[in-house]
Amino acid sequence: MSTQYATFHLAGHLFGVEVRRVQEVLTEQPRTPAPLAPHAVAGLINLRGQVVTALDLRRRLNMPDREEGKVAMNVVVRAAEEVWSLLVDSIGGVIEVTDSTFEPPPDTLSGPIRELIRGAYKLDGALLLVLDVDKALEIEGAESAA
Amino acid sequence: MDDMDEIVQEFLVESYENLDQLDSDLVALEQQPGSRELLASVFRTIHTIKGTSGFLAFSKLESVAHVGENLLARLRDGQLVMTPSTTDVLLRMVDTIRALLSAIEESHSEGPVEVAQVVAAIRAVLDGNEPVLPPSDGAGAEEAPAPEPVAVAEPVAEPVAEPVVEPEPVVESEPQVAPEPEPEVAPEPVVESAPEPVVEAAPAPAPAAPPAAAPAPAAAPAAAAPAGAAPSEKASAAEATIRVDVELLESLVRQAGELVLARNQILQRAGALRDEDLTRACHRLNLVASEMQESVMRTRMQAIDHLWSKLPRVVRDLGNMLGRKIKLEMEGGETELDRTLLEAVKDPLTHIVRNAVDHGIEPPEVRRAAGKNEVGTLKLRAAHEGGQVVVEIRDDGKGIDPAVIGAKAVEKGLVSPVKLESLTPNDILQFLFLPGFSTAAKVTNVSGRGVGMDVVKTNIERIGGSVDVESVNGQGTVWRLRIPLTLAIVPALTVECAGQRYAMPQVNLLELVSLDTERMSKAIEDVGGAKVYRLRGALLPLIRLEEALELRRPADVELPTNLVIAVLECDGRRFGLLVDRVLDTEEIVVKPLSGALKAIGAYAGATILGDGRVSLILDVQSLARRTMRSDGLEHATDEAATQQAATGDGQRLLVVGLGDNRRVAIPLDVVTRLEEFKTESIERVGRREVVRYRGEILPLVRLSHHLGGGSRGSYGGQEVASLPGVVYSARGRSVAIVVDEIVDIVSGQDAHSDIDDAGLVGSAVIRDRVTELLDVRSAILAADPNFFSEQAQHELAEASKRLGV
Repeated sequence: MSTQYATFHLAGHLFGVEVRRVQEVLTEQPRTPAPLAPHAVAGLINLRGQVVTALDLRRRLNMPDREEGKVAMNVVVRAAEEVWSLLVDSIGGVIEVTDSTFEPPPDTLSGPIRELIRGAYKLDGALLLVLDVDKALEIEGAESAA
Repeated sequence: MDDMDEIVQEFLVESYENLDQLDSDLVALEQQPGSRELLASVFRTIHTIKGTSGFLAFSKLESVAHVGENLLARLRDGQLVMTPSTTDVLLRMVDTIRALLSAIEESHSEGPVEVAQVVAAIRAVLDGNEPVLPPSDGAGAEEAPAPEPVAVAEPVAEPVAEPVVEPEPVVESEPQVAPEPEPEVAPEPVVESAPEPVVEAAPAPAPAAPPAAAPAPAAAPAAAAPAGAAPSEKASAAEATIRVDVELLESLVRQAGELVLARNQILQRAGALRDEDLTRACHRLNLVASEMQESVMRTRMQAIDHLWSKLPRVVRDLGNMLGRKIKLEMEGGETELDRTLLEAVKDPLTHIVRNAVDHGIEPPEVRRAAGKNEVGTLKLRAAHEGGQVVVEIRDDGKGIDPAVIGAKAVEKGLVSPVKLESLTPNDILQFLFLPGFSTAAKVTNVSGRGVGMDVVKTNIERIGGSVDVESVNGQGTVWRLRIPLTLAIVPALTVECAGQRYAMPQVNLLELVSLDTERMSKAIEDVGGAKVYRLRGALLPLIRLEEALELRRPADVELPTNLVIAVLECDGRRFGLLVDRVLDTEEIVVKPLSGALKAIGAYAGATILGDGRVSLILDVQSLARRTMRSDGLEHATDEAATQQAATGDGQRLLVVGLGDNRRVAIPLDVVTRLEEFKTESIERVGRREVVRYRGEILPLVRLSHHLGGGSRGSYGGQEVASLPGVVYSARGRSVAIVVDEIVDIVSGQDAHSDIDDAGLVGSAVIRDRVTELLDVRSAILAADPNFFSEQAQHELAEASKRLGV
């Protein structure tokens, strides 16, 4: 058995989201800030007339903010009844991985990353961290003070 | 008559649909004779038809449905068991009803349709006999159709044993109406009513056709259309209209909204390009999109007549019951409203109308005595006005006496007598909208059951509307409901603050006040940390949007040189929202927010503006609630005195600070204004101090002196530039009570002790601090021993009493 993952980069890590969850991938979009929203909410974008909330994955994972001037790419994913955009550093390709190379989160990981990934695939020369999208989107009150 | 036609039309459409359902339900019942669900569904349908036909005076129809209902009730209650012959009888009943309906549709009367036999057959089943059914075909000629329709209308008392027919209950596979010589009323056979084929077809067809989702019904009445009659001019009732899933409509409305947004964006871009062809195409797009939006919105619109049609009856019955003579006039019934809004307006409207009949219009003898026409007039008027629908309910009755309302409000503790005096009659009428306020001396079963105008107001405000009342004592009352046309697209004001744009619904907006920076520093005053603005003399609490949203101004955005106060009203409170700039008014399409943003409680949604950027829609109501102290400062103003009462129980208190960390509470009733007095304007006259204030000389008392304590060195020692104070005015006289600090306005607490001292009436714990309660009277007397006229003394004593002396 194998699964397809859409991959992206975030602070040097390679992450993956199941392909079927991904609606589309977009370059940097103008964002309208949402004051008082949880820290990880980067604002709202206009996706062909639909208002989509953007979640900055760096912030969600407690990583340092993107450097000034670096654009963020949008990975638009479908959640239960909403559509969200995940802000990432850059987009990778779609990778097909075999289930046998899957392992639970490595012990070296700690903090929010560990909680928000389901595990890792051992690729040649890299680890593909599988993001738990639903968990990542559970931000109501979770870390508004971050 | 037109109204009647419409009701009949609706009845027909609805009944046809129900009958189709009935056919399949009955057949399914034969398979599952015990199914209570099916029985209940069938029962409901027949019951509805019976009720409506009775109301519309279709007596034959009623008699058929009536016996049918009896039979179904027995079946439902398990007293009878479904047998094939019962099913036959019931199906025959359905056919007869259908025949009656098509006769009604055609000639507006039941015509000569025969019902006696079906009624008799059903009665036979009810009596436990085998039903006697005439064969539905061929043999019909032998049957003498009832010659006088009037006679048939009366239920036949006994089962008529028709000798012609064998008791064999099996009906032909093509059931038809009772034999009927007039061919035009005989319906074409309806396929699914034949029992046999269905037996093999589906064992449980019942759930297959929920009435709302089935577009099919249109076919049935078409089949029932007269066979040989001249082609009817009107399309069959069910053909002219179809039922559409509300979901589908909603999605159409949404998409139309999107189209409008896209058009706005294209228009904006195209305007910059100066391409002639593009401009023309855009122009066309503009027109088409607008028209389409309008049409789509119209699919959800219904004339307000739908609500009004019930009122003549309500007014008539109620009027008879109460012995009133009332002429009901209605104007503008064709005015249309979004159906969801219509639904929301229904109860409030009925309530107001009942109220007008009960409390508004006087009995004839009273009217005659007052020199009025003894027939009272109740006039309903609906019209579009400035993007809203205004519904007016006007009566020429006795009006509402502000004195009565005022007295009642005092009695209920909603307002103090002192405060009442300063209210205008119109202000006093607003008490009617407070919870629990009812002026009916006794509770009648018409109105005055505690569900009052407050519920009306809440319901109307929930849909973004408003309600107000005007009344001239002795001449009548006008209630005015303002209702938005639709909820999906709202007129909004776009504003800018700290470089970002926000939209807010215009329904909350009262006015805009522009302030330049110079005036701003003077015009905006600080009362215990809360900012207020004096709007035509009344204090308007201010919310800085910047602070409310915790906005950080980016370095590259210049500080605004002037600000704008958007004066808003919601929940009956008035406040000002300070923003940098007002940009525009636009029609916006409200889009939902993700749960995480909804949870913040500051935004009502989002929208996409003409340039394609997302903008948040401010939830003005919750913003006010979030930001303002629990009570808000507007209560210090006369205009908002009603809200003061609205907050209910406790006395409202102004808490001030004195030296030695003392806190003293002053009843807000006696606070006319809060002021800053320049120290240099305070002078001595003999033993007293006075202050020059607005061209007057006010006697002044320093509260710390009066209460015998030290002050925070604000005077005596080093001078400060100004001192905060409270001005109390009555009958052209004013005094000033100078304090060290204005702390807050709170609702009074019950817990207070009697440990008092000179000048105090006790103390209480307010906001975790022991706070002394000021004996206002003695404080004022200390400033001006001659202050009180006799009446004023009385009133102030009342006010003090409320503090628990």
